[in-house]
Amino acid sequence: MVSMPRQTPNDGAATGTLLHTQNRILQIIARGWPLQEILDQLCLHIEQLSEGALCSILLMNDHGRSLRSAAGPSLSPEYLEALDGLRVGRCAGSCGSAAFLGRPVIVTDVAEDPQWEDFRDVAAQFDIGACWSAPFFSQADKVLGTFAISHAHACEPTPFQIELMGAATNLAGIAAERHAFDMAALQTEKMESLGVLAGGLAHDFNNLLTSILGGITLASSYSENGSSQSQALESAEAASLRARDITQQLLTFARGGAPVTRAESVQALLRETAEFTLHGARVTYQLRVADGLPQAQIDRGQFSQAVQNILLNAVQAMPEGGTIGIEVTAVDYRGEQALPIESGIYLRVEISDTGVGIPAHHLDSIFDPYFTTKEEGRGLGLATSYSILKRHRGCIDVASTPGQGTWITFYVPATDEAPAPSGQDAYDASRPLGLHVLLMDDEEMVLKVTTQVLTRIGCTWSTTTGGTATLRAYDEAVDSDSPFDAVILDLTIPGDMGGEAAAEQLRQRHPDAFLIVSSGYRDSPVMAE
Amino acid sequence: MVIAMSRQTLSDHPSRRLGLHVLLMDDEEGMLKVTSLLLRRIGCTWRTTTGGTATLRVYDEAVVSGTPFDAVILDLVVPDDMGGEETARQLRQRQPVPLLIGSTGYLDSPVLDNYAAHGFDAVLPKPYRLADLHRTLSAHPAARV
Repeated sequence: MVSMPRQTPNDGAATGTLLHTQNRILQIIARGWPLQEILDQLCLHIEQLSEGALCSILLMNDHGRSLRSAAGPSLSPEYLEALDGLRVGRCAGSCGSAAFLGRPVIVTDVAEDPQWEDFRDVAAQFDIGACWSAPFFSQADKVLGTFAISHAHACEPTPFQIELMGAATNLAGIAAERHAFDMAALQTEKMESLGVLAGGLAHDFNNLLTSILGGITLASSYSENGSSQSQALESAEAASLRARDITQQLLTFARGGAPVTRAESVQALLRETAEFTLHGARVTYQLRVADGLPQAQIDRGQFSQAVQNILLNAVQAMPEGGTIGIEVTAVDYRGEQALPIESGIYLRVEISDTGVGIPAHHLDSIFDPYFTTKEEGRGLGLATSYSILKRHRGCIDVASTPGQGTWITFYVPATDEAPAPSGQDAYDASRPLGLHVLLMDDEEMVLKVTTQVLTRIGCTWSTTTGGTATLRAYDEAVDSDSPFDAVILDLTIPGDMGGEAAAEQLRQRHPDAFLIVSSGYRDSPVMAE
Repeated sequence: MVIAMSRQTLSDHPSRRLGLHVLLMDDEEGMLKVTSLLLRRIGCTWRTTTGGTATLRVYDEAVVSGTPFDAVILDLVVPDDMGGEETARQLRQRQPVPLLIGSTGYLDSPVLDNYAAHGFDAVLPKPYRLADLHRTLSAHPAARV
């Protein structure tokens, strides 16, 4: 370790010493020292050049809304802890304000300055009299963090101290950006090896599942429709398909793949995904969409997956049931919130739950792969959402109040384009019907094919396999403010209320319901009436 | 308002007998066993092989003996032997050309998204159900649907 001779700021040799400091720090950056040690060294060197200076370095958190303590070797650990998680914004001390404004914030008297109003107690407790802070940037001019010099008493920086801060922020910027590159490269490497592993696992696993699923559907074909045997097989089949979805999800996360985007209506896709994901869960959802929204430029499948993962987390946060709010607005983002996105028009989707919430110390980790607080969780859900939105040049953020709920907000780029036609079909898909349809049929194949057709003609849908469930689904939809525009009913359902009886009851409760009857029996009298 | 919808065009019953002769290639014994049972259930006759070389041989022998295969289901990846894609390419040069179906558990395989460009008439992503197998094979013109 090089020990630095103590210099007074006005000493002619000081510039030479500053040069020496710069050389030394660049050297250890180039040698790949850990970021923590580089930043500590930077602080110690600057302190040696400036009598009474106490240096600290904060780094911007990924979501750009708060700072974390990264270095401050001469400051008390308790003070650094108090700084940790400092919000980026106006009047957030010298550092929070400097990161927010993107320029130095020189507070000469902490006791008087309004930007320190919320932190006077902390300042008094740790003897901070003055605090001069300056942001440092990436090459793309993104704020990466702040470098600050504090003094125990109120004081102004000398021109030399200003020069020191300029040099220090330069060095901190280089070190932090180099670190980010290294981390990204490491992450890519990890993802690549995980991709190979996931691909192999998925293959083996899907082979096994083929035997299981094949056996189940075979046994099912020999068992009587509606019998307890066939019900047991149905649930086993559903579980096998869920297992397949998990392998697929692992692949989506590990390999990702560039999204194939086109203009899509977020509203229809959100509704469809919510219907599908929340089916059978003890929660309701409310979709609120601002008028005249632009289309979003998204990959349908990936977007849907990202939303699904967020919804599943919301459901799990509300074991006693509750309501999920989905709100969509358009925003013209001009860099005012330090979000990790370019300026432009975005669709902002906020998904809120009324669940248990997330403790503050977990908030920064919830998008990390393999981070989970659930016993059976794999920690891939929100990490997948994060990587999908990032690949869309969007972003995702979280806020939570334990005991009250969690708000997940994400942004996807908007487009002026009209929605693209979704197939080579004869249907004019650029004029989607936009209807919300309830479909009842006891045959899975019929449901599958018809729902595909409904999707193609721009309808959102929900399915049931019998009259009882149809009545319940219809009532629930009315109660949750997302009523169905039309109901398609199969006439005959073995072991349950058929189309005719269901139609009669629906008509009684909701005289204006639009009902369509469907049957393979063309000569049924109902078809004629 | 009442609109009639025919279900006859939508529904296919997995229990219908397709009456096809199918060659099934997969390197996993378990896969061959279960899919054989499924094929029997939907009224198909079948033979199994565990790699591309054997597939071509069995296919040619069947043609010579007057019992050609209507369809061939090929696993895309077979370690240490010719895989599904190359086997399909060679089968497409045979007479008669069977219905060529690719199958894989690599659900992110580009073949699944664009099977025609990879020489297949259809694909069966693993895992598949009885109904999926039935629907896929029903594409054969000789299938008694």
